[in-house]
Amino acid sequence: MPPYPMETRTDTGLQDTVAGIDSLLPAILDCVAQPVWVVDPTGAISFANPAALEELGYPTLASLRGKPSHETIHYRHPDGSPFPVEECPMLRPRTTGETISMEEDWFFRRDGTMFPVSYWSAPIDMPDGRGAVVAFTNIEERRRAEEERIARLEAEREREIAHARADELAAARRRVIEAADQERRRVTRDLHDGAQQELLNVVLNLKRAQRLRPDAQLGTDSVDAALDAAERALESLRQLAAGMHPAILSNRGLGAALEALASRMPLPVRMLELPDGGMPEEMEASLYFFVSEALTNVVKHAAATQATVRITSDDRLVIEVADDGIGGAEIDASGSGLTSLADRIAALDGELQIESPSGNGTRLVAQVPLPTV
Amino acid sequence: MPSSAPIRIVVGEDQPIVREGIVRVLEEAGFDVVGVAADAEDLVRKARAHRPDVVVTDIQMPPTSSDDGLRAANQIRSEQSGIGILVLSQYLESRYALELVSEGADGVGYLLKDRVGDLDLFTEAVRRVAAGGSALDPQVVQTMVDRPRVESPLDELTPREREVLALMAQGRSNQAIADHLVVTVAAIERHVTSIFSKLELHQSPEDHRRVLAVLTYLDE
Repeated sequence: MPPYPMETRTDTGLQDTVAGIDSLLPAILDCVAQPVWVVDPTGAISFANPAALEELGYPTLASLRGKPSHETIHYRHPDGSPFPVEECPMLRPRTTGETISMEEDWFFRRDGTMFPVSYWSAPIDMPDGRGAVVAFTNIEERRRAEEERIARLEAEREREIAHARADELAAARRRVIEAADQERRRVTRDLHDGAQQELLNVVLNLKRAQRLRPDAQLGTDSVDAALDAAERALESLRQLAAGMHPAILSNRGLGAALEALASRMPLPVRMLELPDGGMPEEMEASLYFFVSEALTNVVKHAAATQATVRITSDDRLVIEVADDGIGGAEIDASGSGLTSLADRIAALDGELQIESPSGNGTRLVAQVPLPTV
Repeated sequence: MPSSAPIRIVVGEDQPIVREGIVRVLEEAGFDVVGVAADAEDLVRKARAHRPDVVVTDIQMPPTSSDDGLRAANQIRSEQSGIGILVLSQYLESRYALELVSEGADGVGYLLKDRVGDLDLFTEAVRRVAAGGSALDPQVVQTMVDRPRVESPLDELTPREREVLALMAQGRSNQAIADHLVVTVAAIERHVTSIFSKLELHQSPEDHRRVLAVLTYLDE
């Protein structure tokens, strides 16, 4: 147990005052709300006022009087370790004549419970030598308020840290997703400038060879087969490019890209409301892929006859993808499509709600903050 | 344009090998390629300088490599009324084709790039836009026709009528459709009347107006 903070005084003003009004002392102390007791030169309690008796849990003065002060109310530290009387600063005024003031200490009630106090202890001349008069204040309330205040501050700080960490996480996730989207775009451009052009050239040359084929039929089957294969490859590349990062997303924005997406789906997809644009490119890409992946889920899992897409904005952007399929979709740990959808939305600081009652269609509602322009 | 003179063409394409391929096909088919451009700005300049009958251009060209070719084509069209515009594209999306015809389908075409190798289809498209007609890519049109729909009047069309509808949307005349399907023009006219009645569309005598009406319908 560390020593308590303490301040000492050597004036003995109380002695003079008390000596002068000796006989009135008990009557005065009876009236004051401040708990006070007096310790005689042997360390025993010779007097305690009603406020002190009540705080300490003794019914009468008789039940406390004569008991050793330290051993009765001050015998342990709050951590439970013994508090030897030799170390007790409260009784020091008795021996040294100084006045002790203690900001925080702990007293024991009669029933053994503890309570925090602040006290001062001053020497007092008694008929058989120097004693001490102790006045204390129960600081339980003050301490609790202080502890609550600290707890509140700590909780606030922890919340702030948690927010900052969540922000960091979201930012990191956003960077990863944006980087992946940009990579799709880059690969699509490379495809367009490279493989698609080269393959196109192959197709054009093969078609030319086919046109200019000599009268002899030798080798023309091979030309036909090669042309057939090259055209199929070109078509695959075109579909791949459109699926990976459609140029229309960069050229015409989210609304046009979603319209084009809808027309490619194998089930009717109605675009009920679409944004006018004005969103950052990364956000448009992310929302495009959200809808694209959601519709892919519908095609794969929902057994739906149709789907609808609606994007509206008031104070937030609301993206809704609904189908009339079998429902029962949920985010599971197996990395379903819904998990990556939720990740996309979380990366935009948004929330994803999934309503998917069994047999009654699935409705995804994502809400994301509007882009700050 | 005297019918005997070859159709004069300016070609816009940024990829050299593809540009050479396009020019070669056009020249072998008897067209007169009077200028080539490798970016959208140069295309507008060359079109002004040469005043060709037709501009054949890639949709995606420098400087921004988005749809600069399409925008250049629209600008050229607004500057030179009556010029034919044929846009070549890697993009299947009908959006671009619709944008192109939205200002009027007369004298405009939109083909997927590899059609350049289909001599008949490509040269026919060039001739059609030169003559003020329209030429929409069969695959792009088919994608629009086949798009899944909920309770559409299109469901009431017979397979033959759907076929005729798609050929109309490509910009073909009744005569061309009849030739393609190897039936009489009268038979095609009956199909067309039936289609327009089922879709509750007004018939237009001009092919390019008909294209616009059909494409707009398909886009809805």
